[in-house]
Amino acid sequence: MKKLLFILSFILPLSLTSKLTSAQEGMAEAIQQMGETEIENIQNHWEHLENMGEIISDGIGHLNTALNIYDNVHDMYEASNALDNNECVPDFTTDAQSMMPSSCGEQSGCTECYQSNINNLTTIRRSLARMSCIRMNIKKFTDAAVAFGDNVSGIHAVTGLAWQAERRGILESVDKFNNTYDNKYRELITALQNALQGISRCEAQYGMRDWYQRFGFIYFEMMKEKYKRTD
Amino acid sequence: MKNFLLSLFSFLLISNIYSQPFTLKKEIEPTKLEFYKFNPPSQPKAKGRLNVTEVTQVKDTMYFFADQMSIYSPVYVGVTTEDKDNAIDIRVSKMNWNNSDRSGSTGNNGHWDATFKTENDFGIMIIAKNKPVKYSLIVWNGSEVDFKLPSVFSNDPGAGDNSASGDKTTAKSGKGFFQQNILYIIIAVLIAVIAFLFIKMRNKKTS
Repeated sequence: MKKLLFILSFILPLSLTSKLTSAQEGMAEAIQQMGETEIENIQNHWEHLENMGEIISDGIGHLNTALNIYDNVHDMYEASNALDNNECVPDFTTDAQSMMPSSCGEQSGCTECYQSNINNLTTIRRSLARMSCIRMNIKKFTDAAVAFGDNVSGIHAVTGLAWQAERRGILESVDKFNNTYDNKYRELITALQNALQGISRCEAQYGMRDWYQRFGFIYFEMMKEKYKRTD
Repeated sequence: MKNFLLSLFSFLLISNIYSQPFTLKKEIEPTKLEFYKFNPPSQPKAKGRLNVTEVTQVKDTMYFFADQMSIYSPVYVGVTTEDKDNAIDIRVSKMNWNNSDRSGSTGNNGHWDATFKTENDFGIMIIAKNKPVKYSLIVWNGSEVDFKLPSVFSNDPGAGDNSASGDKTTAKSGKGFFQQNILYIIIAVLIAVIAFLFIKMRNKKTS
């Protein structure tokens, strides 16, 4: 019964989002995107997709092959390059001067105290790096789009007028984005300071006193500068 | 931390101010690909989001775009055609439809795919030489990878940062003795070779 339902789900119209557009002799253009139910069916019958039609089962088979090249998704990620050569890829490097010492050795209490602060620090570092990359990509995109539009708009007067309106819209969106970036930056930097002060409290308990004032602060200032929007 | 992650998510939504490669051509109307959560029990590596689209193309060129990708997860794009004798060309673009960042053809085996990482959106352009043509377009976006970040501690505690020793690190911690002292080792080897040659030459002269 389950199998029958599975087959039926593919015989019936493929998706709610399916759309038929312009018609040409003999064959109409069709874009049929699978809906949630169909995707769920692929998920539950991953190794037995013969009933879905050749091109879908072949396509999923190729995805399976691509995944099986790697031992895990982490390896696949590491082996993948950024789509655009100029695209920003998060940079987690820390210069030696800003690195911090840690006195936490093998003591069980120290490790426990450290762990949650270190996990927070990792999440904040990942988020700051990603956010910064999004900003850089948007900046690159808008600069290129505006330059492209400015060049093209000179060709025709009407295009020129339409472009001016579009240009204004692009720049307004960028301003809005920059404001959002600044707000999130402040939020993340405060969270970073809290995480470092948390580590400092562990240090005071198990290692050295005034850790934040002596080391954490230098790292904090470096991060503050690194991700601050300057344009 | 939960609140903070939620607010980051809202930032990501706002950052989505462009959701396809740039163009001023009004006739380019890309189809947005809809993704659904995907987690097949028999293939845990496939956990993420999936779009499967079956297309019958009667136009020369069709445009699609995918968005809400994360730079911390891998992306797979695959095109499989029914008619292996009629290859179709595929171009994947980030910034502008005119400049493709990945391109290829389904060729004789009727399939083309690419794997990469990217943030937010990208466009897929499908060019059919012979029409009509039927093909499947599969776009998979894996879950975010929990990779390790380079340590920020000069004496890596080992206890803490489960994110230490990433691939892009310039941090000194985590490197082996050989890597850290390679310059000294090379100098020592060179001095030994020079000393050996010097002694050999001196012995020759005296004999």
